[in-house]
Amino acid sequence: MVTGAEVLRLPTLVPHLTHGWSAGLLCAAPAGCKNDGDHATTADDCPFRVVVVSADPVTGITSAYVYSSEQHSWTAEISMQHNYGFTVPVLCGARIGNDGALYFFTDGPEFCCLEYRMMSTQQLSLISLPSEWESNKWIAFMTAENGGLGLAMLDGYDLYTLSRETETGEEAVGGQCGLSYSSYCALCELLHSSNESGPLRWGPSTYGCFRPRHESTKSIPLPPPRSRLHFTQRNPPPTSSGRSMAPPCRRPPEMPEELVEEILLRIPPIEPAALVRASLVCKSWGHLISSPRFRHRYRSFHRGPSVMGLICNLKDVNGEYVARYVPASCPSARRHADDLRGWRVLDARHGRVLIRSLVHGAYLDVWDPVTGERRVLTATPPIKDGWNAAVICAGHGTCDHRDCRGGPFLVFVFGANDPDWISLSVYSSETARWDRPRRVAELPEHGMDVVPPCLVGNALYFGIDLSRSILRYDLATRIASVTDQPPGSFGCFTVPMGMKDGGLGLARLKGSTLSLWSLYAYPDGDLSWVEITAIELNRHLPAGALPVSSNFLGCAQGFVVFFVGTEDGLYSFDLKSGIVKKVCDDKGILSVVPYITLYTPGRHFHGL
Amino acid sequence: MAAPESGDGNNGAARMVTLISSDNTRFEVEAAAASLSQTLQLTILDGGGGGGDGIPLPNVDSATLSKVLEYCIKHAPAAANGGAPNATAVDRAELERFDNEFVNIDQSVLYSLIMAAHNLEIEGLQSLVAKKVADMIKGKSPMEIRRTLGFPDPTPEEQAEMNAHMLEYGWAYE
Repeated sequence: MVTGAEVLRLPTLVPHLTHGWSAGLLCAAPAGCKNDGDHATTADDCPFRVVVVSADPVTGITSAYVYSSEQHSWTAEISMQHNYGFTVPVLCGARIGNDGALYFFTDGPEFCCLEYRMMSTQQLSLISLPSEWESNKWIAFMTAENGGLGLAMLDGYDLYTLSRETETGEEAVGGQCGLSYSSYCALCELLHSSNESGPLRWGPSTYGCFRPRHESTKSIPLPPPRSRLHFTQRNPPPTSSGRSMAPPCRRPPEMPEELVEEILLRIPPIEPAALVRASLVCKSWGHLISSPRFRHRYRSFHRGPSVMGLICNLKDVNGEYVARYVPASCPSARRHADDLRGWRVLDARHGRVLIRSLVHGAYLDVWDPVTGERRVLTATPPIKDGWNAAVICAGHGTCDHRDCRGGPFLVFVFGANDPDWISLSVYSSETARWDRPRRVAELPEHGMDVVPPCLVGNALYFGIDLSRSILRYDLATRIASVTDQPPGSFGCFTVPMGMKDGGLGLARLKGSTLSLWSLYAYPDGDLSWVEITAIELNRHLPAGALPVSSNFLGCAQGFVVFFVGTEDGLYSFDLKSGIVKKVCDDKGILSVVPYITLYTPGRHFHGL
Repeated sequence: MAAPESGDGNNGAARMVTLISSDNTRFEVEAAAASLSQTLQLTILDGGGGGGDGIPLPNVDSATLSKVLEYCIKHAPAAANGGAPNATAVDRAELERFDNEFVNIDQSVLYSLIMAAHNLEIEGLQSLVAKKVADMIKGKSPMEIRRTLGFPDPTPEEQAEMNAHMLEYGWAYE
């Protein structure tokens, strides 16, 4: 497999999987693979199995489908009934031992994993894992010394490995080793320098891999004495090569702090990770970057928040709904954490992104696509139908939103709770509950539009009635009102948006014509829409990209940057500079929400 | 003599000043170019640097100083016009092209260049090199940044703290 570039296409799996699924690959040589335990030199013709596991949280049935390379077909489904309602997260499979077992983490109420054993039972079973490890996120499967299931966990500076005691038939996991603080330093050095794959991986996989070797091979009963682990490096790196970047022996004079500050100020805000990494270079850089003074200067230097990226709601090739974060810095370098399968983005503001589940009922989360952090709303909204929602910082009005991304938030849900009325319910992250739904406006014929809302000054604006009108909700007076959209908007895609002068604007996509409108208030209090400009997008986009999709439109930076979908992927169009750029190749985009913020490690960064 | 050629181009009333590097090399340049340095500008306004005196710059070696002066000579005309307002688009594009090529140099030279720009208070040069260094470090790990900038290797305690923070900020390392 390593030597050839041959791709083997597996037959399509029937039925089509609609829930979370995961897959793993197993060597199926009759008596285990003769070459070595790692299957590192497995011959190309070595038979193999692919196991796909899918869990239906509604029926509580978990199914496995096994592909056999000898038969070149999928076998009958293996099912297991359980009561946990879990889903199987993607990419958590691990191949263990020569008896061919695969394990998958589950997200059920109990901390357990799913086992598929190829050689013996060919059945699915659940194995309980030590519950005290449940909350730990740095946990991974590994093959234990006895060839059975092992687990590795990182807790602070300690690395623990456990192996399952299969002889006794007990479900408990035993045999524990600890790694002390000082060995960990050496370990991290090793992680950085080695590209070799070992049996144990942990944490962000780019750190590298290592191979632990126990001091003693005999199994240690629980509770175990902590013993040191030895780490052997497969290919020790040349000791000097890593240092070749260093300037000549004469130490240059130390750079004054104000000069360091000038350099760090110029790290582009669309690469927030770069500032975080720089803050770990040394203590003084850490203090500098997390100081309020630096953060203030950084913001002024880069003129406030910028478009860090886009979140696209799309339907992928498998027909699955995905919310995908496309960072502006490097759209092609997508991380696993940038895709949320089965979720849809509704709104993004003040560094917080509001997402709703499309699989498990109307659950809402607040997501930080830069750090991957998720905050779960404790209950689904008490509004039944056709709702749309907005997220804002709970301190809006007094907060300057410079450093509030991890702080408390409010979620406003407007929808049809009872006939003829739009009702509002508000969730506060501080009380962790929804307030009682309250009728705020008459329900229009076509209800709420699912278009990202906007916050202008102290009012939220939602498109309603298939773009016929706009619902305005004043956060201070708590009064809602309805305004017509510009004539001819009904049925088009429109996005309300704040203008630079503090008024309300609207972008409308009709066919391939983009028009921009401003709501003008006459001295007598009358309101009317004024068309600012109309742009024929076909003239600006490359011919190969046409036609433009008229189903969605994203806009950012006060009507300056627009995002339009085409046959050829997503394009951004800068009205000011006239620059047209392809943002991503993704097809099947249903809508986009720009993610606008400015990240500085600060409030939640403690410095070194 | 290591004086840049373009300094001799103008035989009119242009006042020349002499700068002396730490390794005793003398550079003769137009006062207008040297005045891009806030530090030198004061000395020059006081009438220093002319004739056989020269202004000693004990913190700047000749290699670095010649690079600094290359920048100053190129930017002096635009600076004399008060910067952007009178400059044509062509001039600005030419300066931009020059700047891009100018910082395309070995990082040890960049380091002495930014130190010199800082000491001599040449704002444009400092900002140009700072941007270049920021671009160089933005894709690097903390350890690589240390090595790039010639910091000593961290002590075990520092290393342990770095590692702990790396785990906390795992998203920044993917």
